[in-house]
Amino acid sequence: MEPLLRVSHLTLDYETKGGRVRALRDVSFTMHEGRVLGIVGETGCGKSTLGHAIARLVPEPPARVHAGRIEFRGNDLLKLPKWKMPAIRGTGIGMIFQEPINSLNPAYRIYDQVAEAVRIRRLREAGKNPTATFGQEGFDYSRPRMPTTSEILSKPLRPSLGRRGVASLVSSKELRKEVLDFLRLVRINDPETILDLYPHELSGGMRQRIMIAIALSGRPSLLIADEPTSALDVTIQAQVLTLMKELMDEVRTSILFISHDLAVIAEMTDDVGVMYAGRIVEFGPVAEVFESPRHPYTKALLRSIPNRRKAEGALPSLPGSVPNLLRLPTGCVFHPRCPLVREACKEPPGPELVMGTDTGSVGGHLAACYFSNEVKALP
Amino acid sequence: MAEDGRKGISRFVAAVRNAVARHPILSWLVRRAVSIIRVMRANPLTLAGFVVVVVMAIAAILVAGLPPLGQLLFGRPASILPFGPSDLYLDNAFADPDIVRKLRIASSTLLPRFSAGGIVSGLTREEIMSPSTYHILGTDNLGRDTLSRVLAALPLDLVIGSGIAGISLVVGGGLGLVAGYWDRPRSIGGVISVIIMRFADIFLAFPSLVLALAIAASLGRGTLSSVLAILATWWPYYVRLVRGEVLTIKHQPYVMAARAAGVSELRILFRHVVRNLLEPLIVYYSLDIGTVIIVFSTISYIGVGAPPSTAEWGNMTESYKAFLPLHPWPVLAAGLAIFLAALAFSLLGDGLRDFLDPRSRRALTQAAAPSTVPAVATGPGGG
Repeated sequence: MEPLLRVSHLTLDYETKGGRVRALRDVSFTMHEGRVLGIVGETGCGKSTLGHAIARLVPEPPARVHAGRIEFRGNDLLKLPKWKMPAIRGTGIGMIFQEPINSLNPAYRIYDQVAEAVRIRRLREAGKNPTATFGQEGFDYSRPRMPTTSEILSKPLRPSLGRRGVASLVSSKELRKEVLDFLRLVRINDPETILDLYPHELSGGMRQRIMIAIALSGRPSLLIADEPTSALDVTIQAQVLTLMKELMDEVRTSILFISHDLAVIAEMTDDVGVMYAGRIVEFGPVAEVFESPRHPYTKALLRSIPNRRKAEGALPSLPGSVPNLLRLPTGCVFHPRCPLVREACKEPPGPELVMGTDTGSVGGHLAACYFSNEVKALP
Repeated sequence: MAEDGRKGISRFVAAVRNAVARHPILSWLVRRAVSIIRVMRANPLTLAGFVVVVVMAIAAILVAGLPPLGQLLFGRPASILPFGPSDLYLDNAFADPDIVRKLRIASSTLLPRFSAGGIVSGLTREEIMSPSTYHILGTDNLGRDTLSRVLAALPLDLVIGSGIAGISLVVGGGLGLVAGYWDRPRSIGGVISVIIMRFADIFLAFPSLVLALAIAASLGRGTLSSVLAILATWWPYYVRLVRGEVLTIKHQPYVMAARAAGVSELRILFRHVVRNLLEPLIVYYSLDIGTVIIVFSTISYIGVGAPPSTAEWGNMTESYKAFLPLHPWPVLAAGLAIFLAALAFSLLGDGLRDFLDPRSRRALTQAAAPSTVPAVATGPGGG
């Protein structure tokens, strides 16, 4: 089956006055439908950039994709002209952001903002928008291709819109009903009461639910969640995460979950990729990666989680700090802080993301370390 | 019995409220009206400004619109002015004193009347008169009623003020949008933005007054040339204002969130960016109307604006300043008119700003000063 998203050797630079910052180096991974992939890493490791880059939301002039491919349903998004991207966003790829208060327009009421997303989807489903639905049809717009007879026959005929035309699609009654449905989907109990409110009149948890509702109302195949709960307190975080888990069962959307919180990733995701300084250093099923990590960085990360039961002793931490992206170490990026460092680690190019040589890792548990076998023995 | 009456009334009121709440347009109107009333009650200054502006606007419409309307309907121009702006009236000694007195009595109330219009006779009283029952603010040195002249100048100044500010807003605002939204490093949009801003700088360098003199010298004096001069120096301020705001709004997270939801760039520009642009823009526009009125009056005072016989506050100030020691009323009236107009628009502008920012509508009931939208720009670099 064709993977939903395949990122191959994605390299993205920011051109700054101080030099060229390589925010993403040779990032490759695959996502399938119905699975949740987590991207975890420290602040500044490039995970947000990765999330934005997949939807091509990174501002292009300072940022530049140096190499790589982003294949969404088999079509390279980087080859699409920029003006075609809005067609994919919303209905193909959706995105929710970190700060819910800032992600809602303060000048419009909640109803207007959710209705806008619903309206876009309905117009696209009827083919009325010139940038027609991409993600849902799975149509290849990057290469000119005639649809086959079976494709034409398998698609339902578009029902005639009636006398009112497009207005019947976006009539306020139907829009309102659908807006209320989506708000109920995110477990807002009395949606009628909040329709007329402004974003600043709501709590953080409510705002995040509304953002999720807006993102889901496009019925995207891929939802990129960029640290959706980092700005919320723990109790609200639990509520929103529970909501997202329930939605994962109800709505068949794959999620790319970006977070710095290992616990959240462990709870929500099926697969996980650990990022460091712009590279993915470990990738695999989340249970396996967290129980038997095969990269020293992952091991150190897991070890540094404070454990309530072990109250004595110093909190284990990693020596050194995240490298300056303008002056990266040669070879393996992690080698200045790695307990397993050898001479081979300093030689360029660094280690690739490969399967381990030891047995027991099925389902594609990859690590970018020459000595991943020895990680198990680390304290 | 009274009990039943009260119950009936409250039930009726409840029924009306239900009906309004269900109707989308009516409830929207009611909500708007309620919030306006709330703003006004919390801020008496805003209320004062609002009332004065509304009164001025209505008066201007009546002063300018009634004569042709009356001509259309009744064959004779109607007017709310107690006297025409150029009417010269006699005092006592004339052929038909009764008629004149009756006319005066009839016209000293500000009701629509049929203007006698024009010069009544060759015999005029060329003497300035102090405020009296017939002439509430007195007359000028030619016997023309001051109040009528001040009111007659109202539509002219208001239209010029809002017109110049409006055209500057549209032209300057449009250019500012273009210069701001597509300004990206190393792109065509950036080059165009630089061109627009430097072009605006050229016009910013001219003081309105000097340019008005120059244009008057070349195109001849008159209202039109002075208006053109002011326009030429006025539009760059809007370019700068709008461009600055757009640059800030462009990087707000909700713009990126809208982009992520699949909204097309043009729709983002017109729906999200422009709507958040409106607050400072409308405030600036209201304040600007007052400023333009002052500038135009100044230019007329100097002599290069409206022609000297036209009723215009600046003109009047200039003509009557010689009589200040003994007869201050005409100058005071004209000067006060300028002052009141500018003040009213300033207060209205402030109040509008409070009203338009949804966030500060809460703070209005405490009459607190609102803040602008906090510019927290988070991008992919957040982690």
